[in-house]
Amino acid sequence: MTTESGAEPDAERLRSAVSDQPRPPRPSALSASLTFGWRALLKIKHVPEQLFDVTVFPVMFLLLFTYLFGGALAGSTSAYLQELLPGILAMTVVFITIYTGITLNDDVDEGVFDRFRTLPIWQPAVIVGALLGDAVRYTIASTIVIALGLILGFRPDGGAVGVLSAVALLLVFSFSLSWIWTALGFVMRSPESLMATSMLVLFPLTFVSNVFVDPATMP
Amino acid sequence: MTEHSSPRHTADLTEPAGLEGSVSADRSGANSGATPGDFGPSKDSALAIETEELVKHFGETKAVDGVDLAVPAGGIYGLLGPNGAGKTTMIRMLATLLQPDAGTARVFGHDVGADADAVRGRVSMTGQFASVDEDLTGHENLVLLARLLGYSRREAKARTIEQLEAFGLTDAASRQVKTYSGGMRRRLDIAASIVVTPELLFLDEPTTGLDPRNRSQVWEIIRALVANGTTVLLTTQYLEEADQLADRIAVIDDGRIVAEGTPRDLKASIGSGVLNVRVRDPGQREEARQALTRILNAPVKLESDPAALSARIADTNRIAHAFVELSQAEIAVTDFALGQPSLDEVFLALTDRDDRDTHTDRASRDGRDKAAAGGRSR
Repeated sequence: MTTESGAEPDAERLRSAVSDQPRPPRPSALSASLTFGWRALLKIKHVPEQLFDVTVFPVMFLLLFTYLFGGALAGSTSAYLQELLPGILAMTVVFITIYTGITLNDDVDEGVFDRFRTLPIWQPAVIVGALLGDAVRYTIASTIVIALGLILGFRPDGGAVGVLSAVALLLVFSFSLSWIWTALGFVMRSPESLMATSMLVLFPLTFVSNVFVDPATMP
Repeated sequence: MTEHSSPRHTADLTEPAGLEGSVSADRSGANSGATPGDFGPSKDSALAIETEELVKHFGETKAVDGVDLAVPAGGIYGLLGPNGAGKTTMIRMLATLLQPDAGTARVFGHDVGADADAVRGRVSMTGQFASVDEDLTGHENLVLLARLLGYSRREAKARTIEQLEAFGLTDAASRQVKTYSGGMRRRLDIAASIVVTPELLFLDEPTTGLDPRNRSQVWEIIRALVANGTTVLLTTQYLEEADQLADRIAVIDDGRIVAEGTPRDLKASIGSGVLNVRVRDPGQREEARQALTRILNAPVKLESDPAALSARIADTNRIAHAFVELSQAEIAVTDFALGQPSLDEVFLALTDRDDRDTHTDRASRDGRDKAAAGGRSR
């Protein structure tokens, strides 16, 4: 993996790297946040594997639950789909929020975070930017779930407007929720322990909620 | 606290050959926090860094334990010390990444705690680990930083291309940083630190793990920055590096400064020269030691190499006698050299606590560990 670049720098060229221009003005909070959001998107571009959780998982869950339990729980798979899909949508996105915390936890370990923290910028921009990048991931996941649902026969009661506003609500909810994992991401020692903790909280909560089964049937 | 224990510490070394002069004098200069207005040589110039009784503890560990530092603006200041001496903690506090537990630290007159933003606008840092984003390409890393520093999209791209070219990274610009070699990564890291020329640059062991060619390239960049007016605070374990680059050096050990001065001062502090002798048969080393001690009238030290000895000498005239004495005693010598004391020797003498020989061993072992581990220390 250690291929040297052909052109080695010599002293003359190295000296030319030192800028003698005046320092540009400090970027605004918005601009800094958007730049960090751009960084998050670049990371998706370079490590597309990290999109697995937003593509494969929802598809798997939707298919599994609809066809395995649909008949038993709601009488027919198509009836269950009507109930399940919005729940799966929420669950998928909520689970993705964990990755926000994990990404930040990685950053802190890598030393690149130290550099960001020594920059004269609006400091929360690092986090806001990461969350903005994640909002894109939430959108991708939502689109996939809804598209698959429509193919399988899901017919939303609220129509297109209803679906869009549901997704918008979900995005706001996830954006808020991811702050919790972000906070944990700074406290926890390793990404693994963060993952375990978040799962411990989210897993029971999702199953007890009305995503899979009507709470009325619970004891 | 420092005032009492450190000079005593320094005094131990004084014994071999008149250390009193420069080091102690410079120390009191650096310690002048107690007597404001007397900063010794840097009295008139502005100070880039000024700390008073700076303290940072991690639980039981006293990482930084009462450091008074006065770094003049311009030039290169070396912070030298073994692993875990507190160098990195010092830098992290000065770069606003850590809050001091006690004491004050100012960068160009701005407090690192209360006025952190003003400090951040003047400093830049390159840590022991490349602080670049491994998932992004070299080009993206530099554009990202240029944007964060306030360049417009177009200016950021132009500046990035200029830097990639200067650092010989143009060919690798569109590859992810994780595919870079150690030298390339370090060059990118330094490029990222000087997207905007900082007034003060912290370089935390910038050449650890680099081969000699890459190391001299890094030195070249550092010199170019200094020529442009940047002050550099350099931490290093390589004494050669401090000797080559630094205008002044503070030796730090156990969270305290044990000596401060120019490289020449520090070297002069342990005698005018060092005689290094290597005997052919390690079995004759003890015999050689006795002969040399008698003739040179100076303490002779056994090196970790079983055939080598060294002696600090004040009077170079006696060296010829020493050579004659060894040949008369039929001790075969493979190496006989007179040199200036190296900063290595100064360093070991200054950071020595107990037994000199065990420390030598420990230091060389640390050095190897460091090289192997890529240099992770506090």
